[in-house]
Amino acid sequence: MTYQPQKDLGTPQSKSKDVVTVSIDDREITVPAGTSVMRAAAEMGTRIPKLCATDNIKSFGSCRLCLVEIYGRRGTPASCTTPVEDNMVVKTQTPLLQKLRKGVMELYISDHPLDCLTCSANNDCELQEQAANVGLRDVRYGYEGANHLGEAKDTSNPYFDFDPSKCIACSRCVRACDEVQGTFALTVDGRGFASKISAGLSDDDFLSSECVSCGACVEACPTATLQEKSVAEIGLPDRSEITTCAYCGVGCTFRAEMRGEQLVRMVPWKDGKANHGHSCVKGRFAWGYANHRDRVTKPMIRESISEPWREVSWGEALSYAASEIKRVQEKYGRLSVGGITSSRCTNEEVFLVQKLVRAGFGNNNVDTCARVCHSPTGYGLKTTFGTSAGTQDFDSIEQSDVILVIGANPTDAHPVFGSRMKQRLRADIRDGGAKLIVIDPRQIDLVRSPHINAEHHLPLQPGTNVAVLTALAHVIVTERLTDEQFIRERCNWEEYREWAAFVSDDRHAPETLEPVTGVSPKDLRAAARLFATGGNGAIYYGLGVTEHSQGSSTVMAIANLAMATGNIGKPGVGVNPLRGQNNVQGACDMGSFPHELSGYRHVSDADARAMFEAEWDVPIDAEPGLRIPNMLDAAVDNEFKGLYVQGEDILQSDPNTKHVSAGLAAMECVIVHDLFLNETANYAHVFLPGSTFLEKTGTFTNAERRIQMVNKVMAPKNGLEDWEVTQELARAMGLDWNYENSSQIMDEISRLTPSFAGVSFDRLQEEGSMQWPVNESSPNGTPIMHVDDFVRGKGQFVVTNYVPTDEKTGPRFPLLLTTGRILSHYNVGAQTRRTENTAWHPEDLLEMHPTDAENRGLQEGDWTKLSSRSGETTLRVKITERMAPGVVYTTFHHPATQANVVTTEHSDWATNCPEYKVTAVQVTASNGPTDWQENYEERSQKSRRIDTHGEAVE
Amino acid sequence: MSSADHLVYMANQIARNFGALADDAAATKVAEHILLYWDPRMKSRIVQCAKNEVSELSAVTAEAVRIVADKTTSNG
Ligand code: SF4
Ligand code: SF4
Ligand code: SF4
Ligand code: FES
Repeated sequence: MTYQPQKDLGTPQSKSKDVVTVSIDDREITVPAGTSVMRAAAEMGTRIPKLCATDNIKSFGSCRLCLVEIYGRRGTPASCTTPVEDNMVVKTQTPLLQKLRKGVMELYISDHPLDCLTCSANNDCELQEQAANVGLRDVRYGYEGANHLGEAKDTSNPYFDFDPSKCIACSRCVRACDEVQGTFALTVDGRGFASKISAGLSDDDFLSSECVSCGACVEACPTATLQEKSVAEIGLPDRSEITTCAYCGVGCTFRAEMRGEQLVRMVPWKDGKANHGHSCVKGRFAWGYANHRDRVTKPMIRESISEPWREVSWGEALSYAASEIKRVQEKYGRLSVGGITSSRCTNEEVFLVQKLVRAGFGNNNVDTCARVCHSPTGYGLKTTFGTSAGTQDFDSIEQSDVILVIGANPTDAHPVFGSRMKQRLRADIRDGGAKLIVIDPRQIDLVRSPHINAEHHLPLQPGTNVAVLTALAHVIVTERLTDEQFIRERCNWEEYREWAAFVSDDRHAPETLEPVTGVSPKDLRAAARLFATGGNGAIYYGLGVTEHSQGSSTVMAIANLAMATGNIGKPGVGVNPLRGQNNVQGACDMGSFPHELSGYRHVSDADARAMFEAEWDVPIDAEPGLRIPNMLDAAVDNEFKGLYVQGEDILQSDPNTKHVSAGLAAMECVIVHDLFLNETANYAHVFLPGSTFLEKTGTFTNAERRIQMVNKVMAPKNGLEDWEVTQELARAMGLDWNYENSSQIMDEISRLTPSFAGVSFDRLQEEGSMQWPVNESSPNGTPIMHVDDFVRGKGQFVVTNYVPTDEKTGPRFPLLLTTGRILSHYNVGAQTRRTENTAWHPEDLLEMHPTDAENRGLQEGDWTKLSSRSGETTLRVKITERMAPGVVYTTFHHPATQANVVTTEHSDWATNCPEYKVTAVQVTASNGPTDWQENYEERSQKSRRIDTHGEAVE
Repeated sequence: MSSADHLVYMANQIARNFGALADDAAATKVAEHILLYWDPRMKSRIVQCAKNEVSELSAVTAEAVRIVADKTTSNG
């Protein structure tokens, strides 16, 4: 398609159900009450000149360009701030208006540099466009009265520039930062034409300010004042394609704006149902990794991991890989090999990898990186509700009255949804906003941020989620705050009674549990009362819930709480897992778990197996396969010998690095299929180069079960889309696979998976997106689940017994370490570390309370040694009151930190999801990297050598 | 931890999470869980561990493993 900027209707849509009819330039139009005259006109195709209005922020009425005449009203009101009224008669174009607008434009232009021809925004500038619209040809004031000319450019942000000389002081950027993003990084100083925009304090620039580089201000700016650097470098785009972000589970959709084969910029798509035109720094700007010099685009093999890599043809790599898998299976048995699917890849690609394992390897040894993040969600929600997914769509939050956030940090890990949440929490806009309860060991940003104040923050000891949730239930049940009608109608009453008796026991009173949880009983009781009685209550949770030895129990305890208070099955309520990676939901849906076929059907279910056996013409094993940690255990026992890993770096992301490397080292055939020679590839024998999301067509499914298209915008650098690589590997193993495109894979998924029965690429292109289940009873998808009945019939209350973790502090390891992530990086950082995002987070830091630091004689920025029962690493310390005494925190975005050298092999009892969130540690002063870090560096340098022309290069 | 010890640890950990139930009911739940989520090799190993009495299975776990052993042999 040729390039068209996105539509801008000037002011936000009105949500009113009432309608009014007005006449604009002698044409009648009916719109919702509360719509502005400007928007009503735009909806019928009349574009009233405007500068300070844009449709994702409230109108402000400062530029006075959008004046109209209204019959019976004095003067010329601004159309952006005037709501339509029944029978209003509006004129948008009269000689008077023309004269006034010309005058306004003249003032603007006299204060603006006239270098249009050489400006990077030439032909993409609203000022230029409006000057033409009002017919401005000449400026009477001269160009000297300039307020902004000659001011220095701020180029500190790695992705966009701020050129104040071009600023027209419309304040769209400031309002976008406040209203859309909720960061309040920008301010306007001065008045009228003399006003100046600045980021942070006067000595700040964009990089050092609070700015999180979401790009909302850049998108809002009508001129070239705030503009992507890439536009200046490459030029304006000439076509665009809609696609979906490949970073996190929010699933923002973007317009990939291209100039020829070159990507100019990613612009958040206004019609995207997950993001409604907003974005974060990762999706918007951090796509440069696609062209990073570390990217490997040629297949490589080697016989042993001590040899350098050898570049070979696709044919040679694939037949070598296939023959090795066969050899291993002949020698060690059918069950000795397996595969790992990636939640970064598309549904179609994931589906093929699990098909390769089940149909080609002939076993169920397939698992996915969701194992290490959300497998407890799968187990917990399937048990209580009957299916493994969040219950709401994101829009539901607009109708929440109380929001409970537990073990999640949405403003960092799910930024665009975090902004939505902030909008709903702001007390200063719309009906006082929702109330917030945060349960987290750390004072996350959301607890106190501009215009947001959590009602309750319960700073619990890491590892005591179940105890806190049971105490909340205790208060709700014993104080009779439950929704008995809901429970009687929707849930199994007998199970409820058992559960209610269990939680009512005095053992679970907040007062009794205080020594364990560290949470004040008074606060906890108040929070429980608020949640139960405050109206629509919604629970959002993340990895701080799942990555514990009781992760599955915590998910079930959350579900219990939602059912007990009747908070299921309507807008504004629900249980909502915030998924880490972009396609975690999809990877789970597609049958990536060793015990489940697609659509969450257990492999022991003969009817489900029969469908696959008929379609694939092979028997499906009725026994569950190995999970990732079990694969590694079996490898150490010399019984598991071959692994195909698509798009995951288990060595860096899985706990207890030493155990993982021992497992990998014991295998005879490790096939890594990825963009980069990742850490796992240090132990690989075959490297199959992967493609980025820009280079493939398929679908991702976000945290709200929304299936969205990923569209190829450029040819894969490695020559093949990832699903094609898997298909070629299958063919090399003798399987007769003949998919011509990924849409045929989706058709197969839809034939074999009842909840995807109505999904096809054609329907998705038509609808934009659909939320599963999409089937006969809900042909257009399901925004909210369990409305009349739970998927399993009656909701199941499950008694969740609090079992303290075995990871305990003691004299040698007196502190508890918990881990997390930050905004500018993504997971193990393989992509983001290869972009300019490193400007914000060049290294992982250890956060520690001032008292703990003082006791150890540590100062801000000191090198420290972090040790646990598993190992030790070094990193610098950051001293902050966000941490409770006794608890320390770090991220795991950089391989040099090797944070997982210290995490242990404890895991969730039900799913083996690793317990990342609790490790007993000691922190001491140190003067540099540990032996492990240094040896590790040396080993990985060595194993990354590539032998190109008979000589090894690094 | 050796891998056999780890398996025993995992089985006992499952049992502890059903600790609020009566022993019989808990053993049934633990057995159900192992049957649904453990691969055949892990199942036969834990049955082996119970036979050899080398390791510390809790009473509930031991009963659960007996149920698992019955079910897996009867299924072939
Ligand atoms: S990039 Fe985002 S956070 Fe930064 S100033 Fe602009 S709107 Fe605010
Ligand atoms: S930077 Fe752009 S959006 Fe902000 S006030 Fe200036 S012209 Fe308006
Ligand atoms: S990383 Fe997440 S929040 Fe950011 S743009 Fe991508 S999908 Fe949206
Ligand atoms: S667009 Fe209405 S006053 Fe600026």
